[in-house]
Amino acid sequence: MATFHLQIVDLDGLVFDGQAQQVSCRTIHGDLAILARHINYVTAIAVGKAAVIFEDGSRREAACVGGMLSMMDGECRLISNTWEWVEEIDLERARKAKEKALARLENPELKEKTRAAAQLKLKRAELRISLAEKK
Amino acid sequence: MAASNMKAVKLRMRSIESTMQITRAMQLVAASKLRKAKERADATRPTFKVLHDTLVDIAVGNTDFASPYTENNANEKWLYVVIAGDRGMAGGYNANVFRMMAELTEGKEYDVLPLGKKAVDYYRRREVNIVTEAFAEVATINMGDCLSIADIICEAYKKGEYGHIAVCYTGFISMLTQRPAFSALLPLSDFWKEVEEAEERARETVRNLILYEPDSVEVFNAIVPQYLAALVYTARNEAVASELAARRTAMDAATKNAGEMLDNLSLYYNRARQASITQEITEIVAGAEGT
Repeated sequence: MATFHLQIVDLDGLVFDGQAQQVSCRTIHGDLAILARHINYVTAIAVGKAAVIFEDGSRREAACVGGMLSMMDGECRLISNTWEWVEEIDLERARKAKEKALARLENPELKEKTRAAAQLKLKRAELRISLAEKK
Repeated sequence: MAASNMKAVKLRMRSIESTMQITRAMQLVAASKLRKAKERADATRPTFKVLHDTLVDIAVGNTDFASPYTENNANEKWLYVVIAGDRGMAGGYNANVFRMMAELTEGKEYDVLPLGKKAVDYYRRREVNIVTEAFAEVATINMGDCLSIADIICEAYKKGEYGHIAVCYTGFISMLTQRPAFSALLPLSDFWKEVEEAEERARETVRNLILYEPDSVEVFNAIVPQYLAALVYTARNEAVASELAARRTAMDAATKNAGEMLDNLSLYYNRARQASITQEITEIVAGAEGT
């Protein structure tokens, strides 16, 4: 299969830089997969599962939170806030984060902004848990 | 030389020795922390570069988009995000940042968003309006905090409270050189300068057509806060590495100075001891001759 140059970075540094067959992730507009020779394309990423099919055909999944994806002249750049390969997810920590977020959401006097933040945290934790439990 | 003077010298030597122990410990701690901080600063650099390149590409490829972040509003008020240290004992590290800030802010109306205890203290003392003190401890600031800072900045800018927003920090040039630096955050005018140059290059080639989903404005609005957060995060990492490097150098110099002082004092002490012995012998000999 045709491959393209893919760079994945998160804010802790370069995650992946090399050839890939396909990359998929959840954008603010829905799920999406990029193949080689995709039209020039830019979108923002939401919270969701992402997957990369490497040059050798192996597939790896990851939890991807926020950021953007750009395909420019055959160069794909995926910039996410946090990118965690499934094998690297700390299930214990994710569970704790979920409990904490749930506990916070139970408070009825929560301000709208902190409520939104807690909901986002919950969503992220749930994503991590669902991915880590499947492996 | 009286014996009491010799005792004072001895005491002074002891006090210098204990100070030296502290400075040496601080130097070692800074050196070991510095390695990690430097790795972190190096790690965020490629991220920032990719993000920046992508934004330039988008801006060059796009012919018409308006985002609240690109528009200049008429407000002349500035907001500075100032990144300084949590502690002193780092040579001129904190003072250099504040000196640059003083130059930058001269004659301007401005608020600050301080990161680091020293910055909070400094601006509180000068009664400058502080946006929030929530990020006082610079060592514990993580990406999440930077996203909240970016949110605060974006909200304030969209409301038109400030006309310009910039970050002031210390750039990590090498282990031995750190320089205060300044980077504009909003509006993205600095950014546009680069775009104009890139556009000129693009004019010679064929302009790219880019597909945006859902649309360019929405994508841009989603990306800009993240870009700012990454900028602040990069600045923070550089500043922390700089602080540790500055502290290491300062404490190294302090330890060396202490060693020098000790050498001089012990020389002085020994000389005084010798003199007092010689004097005693002379007295005894003179006394024996007298009889």
